[in-house]
Amino acid sequence: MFAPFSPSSGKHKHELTELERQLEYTAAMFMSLGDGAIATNEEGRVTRVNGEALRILGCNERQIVGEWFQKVLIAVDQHGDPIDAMDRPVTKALLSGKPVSARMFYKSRKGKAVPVYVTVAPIVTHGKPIGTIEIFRDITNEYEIDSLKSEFISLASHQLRTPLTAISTYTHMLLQGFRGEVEEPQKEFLHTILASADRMNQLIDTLLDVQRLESGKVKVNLSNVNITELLRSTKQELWPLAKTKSQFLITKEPAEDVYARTDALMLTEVCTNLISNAIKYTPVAGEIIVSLEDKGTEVIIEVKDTGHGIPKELHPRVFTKFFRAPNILKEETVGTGLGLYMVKEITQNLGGTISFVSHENKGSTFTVTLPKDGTHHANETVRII
Amino acid sequence: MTKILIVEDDKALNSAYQMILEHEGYDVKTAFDGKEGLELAASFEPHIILLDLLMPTMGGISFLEHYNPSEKHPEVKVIVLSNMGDYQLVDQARNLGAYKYIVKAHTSPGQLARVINHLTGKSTPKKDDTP
Repeated sequence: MFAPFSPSSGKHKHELTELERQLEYTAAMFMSLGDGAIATNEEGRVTRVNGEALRILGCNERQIVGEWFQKVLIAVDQHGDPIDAMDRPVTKALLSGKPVSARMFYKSRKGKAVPVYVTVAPIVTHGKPIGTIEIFRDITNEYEIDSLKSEFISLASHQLRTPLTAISTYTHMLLQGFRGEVEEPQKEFLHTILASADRMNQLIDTLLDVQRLESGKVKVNLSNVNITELLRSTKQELWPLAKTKSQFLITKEPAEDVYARTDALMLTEVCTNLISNAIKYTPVAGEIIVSLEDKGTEVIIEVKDTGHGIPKELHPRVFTKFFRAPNILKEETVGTGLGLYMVKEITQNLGGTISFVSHENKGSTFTVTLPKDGTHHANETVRII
Repeated sequence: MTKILIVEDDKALNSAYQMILEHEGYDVKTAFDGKEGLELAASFEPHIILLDLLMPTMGGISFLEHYNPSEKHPEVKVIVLSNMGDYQLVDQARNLGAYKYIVKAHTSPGQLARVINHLTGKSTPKKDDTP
């Protein structure tokens, strides 16, 4: 039997006071958070907002609470384009049931775009998300430092590239006989100079690509891409490289061409990197199998080799910048350690995921999973700016 | 004779481009910044301008704003010399009337000659190693 509820009854009054105190404490804790905090219900309507969030957004509580997050929390990307509700961490956290982080810009009431780092976690009770809690931090300082760093890399690359261009242009001119006929042994040296200048140029290109990817300046251009064709032409391009090592470069593809809505240039970069890595790090007469699978809503590209493999203890570092495995360094000294980092960044930009399996001295398999419709999946971390 | 103006602050590159294009039989003049380029463009009246973007005193974008190829010189083809890291500048240059852009680091003398010969309708050398 239930006892009739009476706020004035002594025991209940005591319990209520305790409950009130706890609620007050929770509310005070929420309001005192140093970062912006916003809670929503399962429909995405704002239920609570703290002082720091109001400060960053330049508004008051009445303007936000009770409203749909997409209406009152205006999020844009680095180009100033609004971020679709489906791509917002709140939606992704609610749909996936997992925490989702992203960098983006929140537009304040005055129209200022504030760079923020957002983490949204679903509030789960009885295994069901009943809302979200979002914490976000004003990262203006970090963003400015990042922009300065990017500017520096861009300028430094330009300064490096100009003399390098002069070196290769004059070397070409010597080879072309602008200063008279050049003998074969001299030509050999001139070609070595050209090859070194080319390598330096490639390194600068890679640094610039990384910088562009990190600064979010790369915009994904989606179109209907024939993935089968893309893989065939990538293979064709890299075939001579495999041939010099007498390797078997095999493609396994479904009978019908596979299409996906993706960025052709970016995906080519991913496939070129993975296949050329496999060629580079697989011994003479080894085997590289590139397979393509149509999984309905997803496309799976797998690059499997019989190469040196990556030591198990180094697996967590494979996609980090400048990573080069020691067993590889013994074999191949040329390389930046930026390839796989870029592959991961690009794949994420395409809304896909990348994973790998590797055994030392046996080989590695890298697997890229891409959504066919070009939409972003609920990754643990989504980078927007 | 087709007249080409090179506006490039790097002396070594400027001089290399001049040699390559003179070798192809063009009348070439050189400037080392945008301001000098504007003055020379007015007196020399080139058919083609090779324009670097990052230069002291006056850069390529400023040059284009003043020179205004789209409206004032629609018959002159301005080819921007890019350095890869400056995509935004290249887009800006295109909007200001630049005709084409070439990436300096990826363009050999033979390729440069081919691009210019193509624009002027001259026969193009078949091999890269043909001076």
